[in-house]
Amino acid sequence: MIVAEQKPVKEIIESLEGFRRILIASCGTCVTVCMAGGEKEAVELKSLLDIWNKETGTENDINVVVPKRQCDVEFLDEIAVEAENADVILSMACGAGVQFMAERFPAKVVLPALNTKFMGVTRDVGLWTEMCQGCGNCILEKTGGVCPVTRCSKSNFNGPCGGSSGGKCEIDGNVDCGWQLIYDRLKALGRLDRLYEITDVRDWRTSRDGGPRKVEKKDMMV
Amino acid sequence: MTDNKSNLQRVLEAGHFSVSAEIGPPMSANADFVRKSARALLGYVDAANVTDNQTAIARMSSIAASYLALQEGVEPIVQMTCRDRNRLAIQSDLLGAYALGLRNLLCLSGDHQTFGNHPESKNVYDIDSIQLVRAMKRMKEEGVFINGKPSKQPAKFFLGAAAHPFADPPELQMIRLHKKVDAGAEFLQTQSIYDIERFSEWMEEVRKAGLHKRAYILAGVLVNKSLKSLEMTSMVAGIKVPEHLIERMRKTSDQQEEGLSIALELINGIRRIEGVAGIHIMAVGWESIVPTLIERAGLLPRPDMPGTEAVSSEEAIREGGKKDA
Amino acid sequence: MRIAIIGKSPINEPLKERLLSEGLTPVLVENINDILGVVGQKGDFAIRTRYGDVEAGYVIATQGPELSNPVPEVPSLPLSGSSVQNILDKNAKQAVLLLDYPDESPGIMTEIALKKAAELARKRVNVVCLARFIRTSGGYLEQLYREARHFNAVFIKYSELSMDCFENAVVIHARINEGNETISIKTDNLIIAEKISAGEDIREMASRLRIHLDDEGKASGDNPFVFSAMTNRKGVFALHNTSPGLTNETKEMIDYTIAAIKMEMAAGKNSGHAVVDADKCALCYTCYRVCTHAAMAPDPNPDRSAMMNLEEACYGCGICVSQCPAAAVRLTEAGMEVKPEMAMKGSLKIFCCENSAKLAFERAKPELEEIYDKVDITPVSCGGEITTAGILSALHRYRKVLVAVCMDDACKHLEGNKRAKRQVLKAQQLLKSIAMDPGRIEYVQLSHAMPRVMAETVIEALG
Repeated sequence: MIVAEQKPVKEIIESLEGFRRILIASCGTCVTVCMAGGEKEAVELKSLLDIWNKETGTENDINVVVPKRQCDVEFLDEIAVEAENADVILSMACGAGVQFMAERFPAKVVLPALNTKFMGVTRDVGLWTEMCQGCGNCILEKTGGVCPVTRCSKSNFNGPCGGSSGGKCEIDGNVDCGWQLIYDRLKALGRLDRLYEITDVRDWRTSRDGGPRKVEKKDMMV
Repeated sequence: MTDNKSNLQRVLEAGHFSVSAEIGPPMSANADFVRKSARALLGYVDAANVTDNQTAIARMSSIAASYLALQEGVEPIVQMTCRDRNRLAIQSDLLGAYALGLRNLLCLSGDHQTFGNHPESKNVYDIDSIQLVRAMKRMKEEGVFINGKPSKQPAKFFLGAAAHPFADPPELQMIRLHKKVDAGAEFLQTQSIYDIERFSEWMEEVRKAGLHKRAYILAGVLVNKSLKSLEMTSMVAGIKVPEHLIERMRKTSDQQEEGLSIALELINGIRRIEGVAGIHIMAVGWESIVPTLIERAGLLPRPDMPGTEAVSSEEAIREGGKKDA
Repeated sequence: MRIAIIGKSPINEPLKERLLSEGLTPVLVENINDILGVVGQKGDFAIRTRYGDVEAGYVIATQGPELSNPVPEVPSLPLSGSSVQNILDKNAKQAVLLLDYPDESPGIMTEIALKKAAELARKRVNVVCLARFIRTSGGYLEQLYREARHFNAVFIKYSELSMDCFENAVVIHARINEGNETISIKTDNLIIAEKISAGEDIREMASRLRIHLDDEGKASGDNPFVFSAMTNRKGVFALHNTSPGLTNETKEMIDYTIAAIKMEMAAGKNSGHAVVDADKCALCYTCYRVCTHAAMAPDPNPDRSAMMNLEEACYGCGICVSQCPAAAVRLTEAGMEVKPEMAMKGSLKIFCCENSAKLAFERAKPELEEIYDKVDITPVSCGGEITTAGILSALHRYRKVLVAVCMDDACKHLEGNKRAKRQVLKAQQLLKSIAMDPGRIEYVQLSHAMPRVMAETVIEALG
């Protein structure tokens, strides 16, 4: 899922300065699971802002809505009335949701509450790690299910580099060397031969380097 | 003329034990600095690496500094890392380097930019070091760019890559070594060696695979001027310094002399190993000692290869101008 | 009613017999490696094995501990083995029993040692029993001790010990008499009481049954000080810290377990539990992971793609409520929920655990005098119910908030107090981030028997 982290509260408060009617919109999907922008966080943020307002004597009217997602327009339609009655919308969704919200309500200022980080998985309660970069050309078949683009700091295709030491990446002793993981996995599966051939240079056009992308499923379009 | 082999290549092909060292460009546009560094090595080496933004610190480019070194009569080994340039810039810069008379190329991944003085920069890594070797090999033999299209006057470098006898995981690093040679690496520079026994074992694997006959193995030796320097070196990934050497540096009353002794012993030990074609000397913060070290190691005089001074920058440029671009 | 016995242990057979005699139906699943997991709740468990599901109403985990020789380099016989027979066969005249535990010997080992000492002594073997400390009080053990002494077994308490080995003999040097004397005993018949430790097998078992083990590898339950066979999962009992043999202590625990099962069978429906709102649930599995009672499971009903509370397994502690990122869980009997008529204003709001702090507060009434009525108190079933949002929301109306929960290892739900502390820290962080005084939120851990601490904390909080 998409993993994000809440922005520092100070930054959020600064961006809300001057607005009176504030609508906080949480998102019930990815950012709920990674505990950054779900209903719980929205309520927490509102409680904090209420205290802040009381202390600073600010007159604010803060409401919370909890759409299931912000990346499908119907959920945004559901909050149209509340949006209409707000001066600013603080979206607690990922970057996609924030932008979609802004598109849906172009007359309103839409602000982000989160910094969107990566596509990742839950490792433990409270811990998420990056797994996929969305390069558009998946080669996991060759690398035993471990992605060299994402998990090698240098996106080496014929790795590792000489900085792999004790299974860790040279940049940080807490970061696994992606190629060590690839090696371990392929070796255990008896498929190390997948690495004997040189992987050729990549066509990065399938990635963001080729410009903003889209996916069309023609069989769904009439 | 433009197809002339480099001095380093000739030395190695003639069966001599090669000697190379390093020139680190300055963090400035100071051309004299480079000229002085080059002059200090004149007559002591067959070629010298000119590093490329080493440890991700922004310095004068390897190609520019190499050209300056070449003007002083010292043959450079241009370094190209994959960290900072995409394939367009790499090919473009290397065509320029070749046009300026540079003939040796070392292809590297490059230290991650978080190590350096611009950690905020975007890292490129469009292609990796093995892909780069292969690309330059194809350019040399087939005269084409990475996209397969031809160049009327391609660059034809003597190609090198880095070898890591002590990096992890060992089996995979050996597979990688194979791939580098398969890709077209003609010489391999190893990371600094401190443990002769382990290096011997690695060389045995290399010989078993016949790799030493397909590419020249140039063993790296780093000369340390102090205990602190040795301790810092031992923290670098892929370099293992045995405890007894650290003990020696700790106990001695003259650390510089001890550092020199250690380096000499290492060079002597390495020379005896079958399959090693040359020595590559590095000195961190003690470049001035390199000529002394080479002399005391009995590696002088350097062979005088006929025809090599002909590859001067002016002539190469003149020759290049005669053909179509 | 089917009762599943899980694990390999010598008490399985006697346990089976006891269960049958009580009209219960024992089902044995000996090899824990065959078990993939145990799902369900008290009265309705399914043990998932490689060969299919085994259904049972209750589970008793019996996988035994690992016994290891604490001094393998010294020639000796293990206490739990057939050491007595070996010594009698040898026609030995003397034997030394060594219980070399850091402090008090575990009851089970004491029982075995006393029995064997008595047996050998009765057969005219000179028995010396060395221990740092043996607890011989308490009925049965006292009886055994007296019997051994009656046959002239000698018991010596030591503080320090060292051993020298010679071929088959051992010389033991022991400091006795509060360290004032050292004695040396030579013997070629040394019996050593093994170290009991929770081995890999017990950990595997605990993991598959979702039972919590303490640092010593014993299953910890609702009240670890009262009955050690209970676990954090209602309906699952652990009789794994038993010896290789049926001791008196083990017999007692079996009786107790069966009585507990019968009580559970007779108990009514659980009214205080959690409820999941299927529309909000993101199936993120957080509640499943943080629940210390294994009371959350995915709803098998295909129309409801959400987690579901297992009502009979639930204690209503509220940890799932406070940790759920989608605010999808509530309690049928919630404390933290602020009801409109309770929305007072004042100087101090106390959120307190009803197992500890609430009782301490009530006992502190005499000391608090008129303050007692000025403070607004919200009891919760466990610190686990407490949320950052709730704390911040209270700060909107009260000058200060005090969170009072149980001491470190005393939480009935294992980590409700730790969860509460995390929520407090988060709330304090948020206050700091808007340049406000984090000291407006106070946190204290205490037991129900500490009214003085409660009084002092309240008085200090009011300033």
